[in-house]
Amino acid sequence: MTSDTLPYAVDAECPLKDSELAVLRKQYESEGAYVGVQTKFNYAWGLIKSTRRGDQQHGVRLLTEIFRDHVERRRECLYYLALGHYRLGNYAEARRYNEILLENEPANSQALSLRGLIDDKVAREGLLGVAIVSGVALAAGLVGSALWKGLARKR
Amino acid sequence: MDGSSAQAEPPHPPPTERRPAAGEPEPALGTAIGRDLTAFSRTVTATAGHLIGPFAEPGGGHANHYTVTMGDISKQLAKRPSIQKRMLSFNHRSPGELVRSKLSTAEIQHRALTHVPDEMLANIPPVEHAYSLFQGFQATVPDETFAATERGRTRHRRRSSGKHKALEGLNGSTPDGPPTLAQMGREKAALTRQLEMLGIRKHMSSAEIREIDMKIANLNRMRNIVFDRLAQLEQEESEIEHEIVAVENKIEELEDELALAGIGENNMHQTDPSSAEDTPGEDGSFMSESIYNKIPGKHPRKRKTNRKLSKPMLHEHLEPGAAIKDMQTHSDTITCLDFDVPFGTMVTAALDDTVGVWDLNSGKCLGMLEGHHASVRCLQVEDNIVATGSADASIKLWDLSKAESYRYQTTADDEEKGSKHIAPSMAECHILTLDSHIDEVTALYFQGDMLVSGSEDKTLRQWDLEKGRCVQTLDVLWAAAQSSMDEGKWRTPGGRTANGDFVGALQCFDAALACGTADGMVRLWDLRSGQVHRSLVGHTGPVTALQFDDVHLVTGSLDRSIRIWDLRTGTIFDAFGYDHPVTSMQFDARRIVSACGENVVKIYDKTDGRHWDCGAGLKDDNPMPASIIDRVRIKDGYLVEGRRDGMVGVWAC
Repeated sequence: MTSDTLPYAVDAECPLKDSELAVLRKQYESEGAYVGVQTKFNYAWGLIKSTRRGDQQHGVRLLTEIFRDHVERRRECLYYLALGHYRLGNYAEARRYNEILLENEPANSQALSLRGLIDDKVAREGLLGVAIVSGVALAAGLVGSALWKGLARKR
Repeated sequence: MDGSSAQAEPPHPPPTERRPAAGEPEPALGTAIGRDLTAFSRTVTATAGHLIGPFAEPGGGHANHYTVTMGDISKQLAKRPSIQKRMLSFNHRSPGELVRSKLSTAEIQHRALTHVPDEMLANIPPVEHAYSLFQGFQATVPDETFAATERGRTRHRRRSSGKHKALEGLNGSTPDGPPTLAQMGREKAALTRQLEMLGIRKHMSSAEIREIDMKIANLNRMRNIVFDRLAQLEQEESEIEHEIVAVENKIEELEDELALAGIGENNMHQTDPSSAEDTPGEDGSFMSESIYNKIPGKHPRKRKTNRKLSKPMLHEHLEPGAAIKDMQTHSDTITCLDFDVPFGTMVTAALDDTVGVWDLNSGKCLGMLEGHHASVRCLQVEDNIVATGSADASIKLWDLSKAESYRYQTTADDEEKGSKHIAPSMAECHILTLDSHIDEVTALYFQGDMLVSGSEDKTLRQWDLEKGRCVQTLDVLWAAAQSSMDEGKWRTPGGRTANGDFVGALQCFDAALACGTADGMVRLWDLRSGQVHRSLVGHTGPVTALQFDDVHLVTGSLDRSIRIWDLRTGTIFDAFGYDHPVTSMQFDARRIVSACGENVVKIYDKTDGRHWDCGAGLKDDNPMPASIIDRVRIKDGYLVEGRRDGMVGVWAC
């Protein structure tokens, strides 16, 4: 794959207008049971770009269907799936797909950048978690020490 | 005071351990958080030490050691963000994700739906597409969106580099000025991009076509499978029907035996109800007892009718124009033919003065209708009743269900003998002869118990089949002479097309009768008054074929045209011409088929207005060209044509 064929994560971050998404949905629905892969993807991609979590989930679901049904599209679908899960915050899934893609294409720049992004996000959320946990611990400590001091004074 | 001193003092050099190595890029945000965290963790450590300290066993070295370790770790963390990443992401999940995936049912559901099994992930074929789905997306989404993102991108770039910004600012401020190099460059880039997108769109379309082709192929395969199933079912259906008839015949025989034994004198009573149910609907009154009684002593016992219990539909699913069967019926030109239902019974007549009855399913001859002294010029088959009009000026009616050799008796036994078996005479089928005409009968039509016929003696006759006699005679020439309208007058047909029959075709419905004659006129009669109430003028040659439904009347003529008339207004509705004189025409719900001196049948599809050909003449590889088709009949998309060499072709259309 050349460098231009896959979107960078930034692309997934800018949502489409509602009217544009509606156009994609209409096209998708009009094709019914025999919907073409491109139409399906267009709608799925539009959904993933959305800021609403429900839309994103729907998009990932459609992408999963594409992945299952179209063997020849699987490789690129891995990346879209990884992006979709990344958007959803399912970093473990995102990483899983991305790593498989990187196994197949070690030099894929989009996948490499996504790997970095995922790692960052996980680290940040991890730190935040530590912060929360330690914050709780601190509060508990303060209360505990206050109690302790109170007890000590009583004694 | 403290603050001022801090300001006065030279800034402290940042602690060495926090300074990133020269070549190591560090995300700004990460560093900030890292710093906060370091400070924070120190506080925690201190507090913890504070708390734990008093409880610790004597020998505070432990607590001290702990603090030192924590400090070390935090220092390391701050220095090497990648380590903390690795540490914190060792389970590949962030806490938020963990909470979501364990607590929300919707999330769990979604996960189950989007989970891809590992074996699928293992099967990742290399890419062979000319474009990625994302490129396809870019190419599909309206350009303005794109332009918007593009603009966003350039803006982004501008912000990132000051030089660019300055340059663009300059260009941007003089939009009307002469084009600069940068502008042209941008334009070129835009055009290149457009070209790229067009290429992708092209690939997309071709890929879509391929996809559709695949789907069509798939559907075709499925269709073939279902089609075979349908054929199988029809086969079984006909076998069961055979069995039913066999059983019914046995029952009848037993009943007869019982009757003979004197148990019941009302033999007729027993058989009559069965005959009534065999010919249901309007035909119930047709061929009633009174007619059968006229032929005394021949076959008091009536055979079961050949009426099919099921409706064959296989031909409806064949390709239009597909050949179903070819039969060599006669050795001479076929003068007329007709059949009752698709895959039913066909009756053909030829110049060799014979009339054959054929099973369209097997293609076998069931018998010959013998009795006419000259060739049969016209015939009609309705259920199991056949009416034949002959050049010997007589009309004969036949009831095929009375034939001993009819259909089910023959098919089973004669299967092995094949074509060698000699067609039996079906003289026992003859039920009635109408012989008031004094010249060739060239056209006839019957419905219910009324039959109308047209003859070379320039008259039309209306017959009551129940009484078996002529009830009305209409003199065409007299009616033409009576006509007040100028165009109603008889016109002597001239030119090379003058050799048509005087009455080329007729059809009646209730009291309405339409007849087409050699002068090219179509006259509409009222049988109650015996008057012509309308004449349709238009054809310039003898009318040879005519048929009407509730809206239109279609006529074919030797003037090489087919005309479609509006029955209510009497005006022409549509017309089209062919290269040769039309000798025969019929239409069903969808098509008008005509024979016009070629070895193909001309078909006009009423629904989509398409003209096409069907027949043996289309096959180029045939070394001997197919004979010219003279007669054609169609019912429910089942087309039968008779040729000059005695061949009959059956087609689906």
